[in-house]
Amino acid sequence: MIKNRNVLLLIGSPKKSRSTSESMGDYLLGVLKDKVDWHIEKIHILTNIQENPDTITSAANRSDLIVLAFPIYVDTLPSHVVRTLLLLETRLDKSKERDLMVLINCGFPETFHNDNALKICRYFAEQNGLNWRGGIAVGAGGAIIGKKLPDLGSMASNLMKSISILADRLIKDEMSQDDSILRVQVVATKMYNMTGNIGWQKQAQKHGVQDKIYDKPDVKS
Amino acid sequence: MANIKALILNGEMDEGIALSRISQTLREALKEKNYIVEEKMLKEIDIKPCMGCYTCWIKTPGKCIIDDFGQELVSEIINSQLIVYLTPVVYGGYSPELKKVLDRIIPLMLPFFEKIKGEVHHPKRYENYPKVLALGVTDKDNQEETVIFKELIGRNALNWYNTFDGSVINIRNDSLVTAIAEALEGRI
Repeated sequence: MIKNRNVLLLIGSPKKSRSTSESMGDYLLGVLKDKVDWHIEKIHILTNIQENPDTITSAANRSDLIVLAFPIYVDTLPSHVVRTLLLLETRLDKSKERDLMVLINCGFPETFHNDNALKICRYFAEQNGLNWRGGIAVGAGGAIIGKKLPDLGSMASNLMKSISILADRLIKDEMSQDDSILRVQVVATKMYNMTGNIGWQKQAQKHGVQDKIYDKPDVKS
Repeated sequence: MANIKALILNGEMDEGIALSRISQTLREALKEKNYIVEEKMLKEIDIKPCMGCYTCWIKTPGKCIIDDFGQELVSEIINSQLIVYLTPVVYGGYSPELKKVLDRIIPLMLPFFEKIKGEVHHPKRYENYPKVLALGVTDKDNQEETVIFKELIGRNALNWYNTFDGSVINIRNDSLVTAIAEALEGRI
């Protein structure tokens, strides 16, 4: 068991609160806090990347483990998360051994939509001397809607189990293997599509635009 | 063939590979094929990140509420016939300068989930979408980056309703004129 580690959770969702990325990250930190007394920091990337990038790099340099939690945007990492990787590449103290783990979620139900982002993060780790610790690829992440995972009941039970497995791997210092990505689809595809599509309609109705949901405002004649 | 609009989204970064020579070669090649070419140097344009609020789907359908050039660019994209993503290959993906635009294109799709070719995607909002050509530029002999980049093109293609193709150009090994000609051949 490793004692006295510094863990940095980087939240890559643009949402300042109630994001699925933060829900997953908080659960991991909670498990670690319950089992080991590691020092933990949490930073919201988008709040800092432009105005206070030093906040990110200083915390990253203090850390032994960086946990990067983010949503998939257009099949891969959001722009500000790519910018963060570039920032870390130039400013990380590479003489210190450090791990990288990712918690990725996508709004489509299938988990394979996360695969490109996983490969990019792994490649980044390899290129920058970070130990790749794998992580988790979540499908149907939209169902979590930023709630605390224990509050979601059975829907999040597999996700919580998987995150606990990740935490145990970290505590026991088990290096990840190629197949170390845990995949969790939070809701079955048919159910997710059906409830999601009803949900979009309901939200449009709430805002009085149910008749405009198919509008094409940018068509030029 | 006239008045066919090509929009180059130049994702050059302040640090790293300069794309000016390759973009000039690309513009000339497109003009030879009768395209009217416009280019946006994205690092010079303030485009804020997508906030993930879904307002463009449920409050102002088809329109992002972030009041910056991103709104206009999305309109330009859907009204072009060809979009060229020109980007340094960054860990196998797009540069953040290009990606900040791509993150903002979700108003071009509908919010709903639909199975298309066995996978769940968002249905199209518009009748017609531009062709996309994604050109990654690298100066490394690193096959892993190239493979990841091509996989990203493949994934993007599944979420786009027109031809979406591309390649990686190695500026150390490839003749620019030949590489651009090969990249365009059969794709536009």
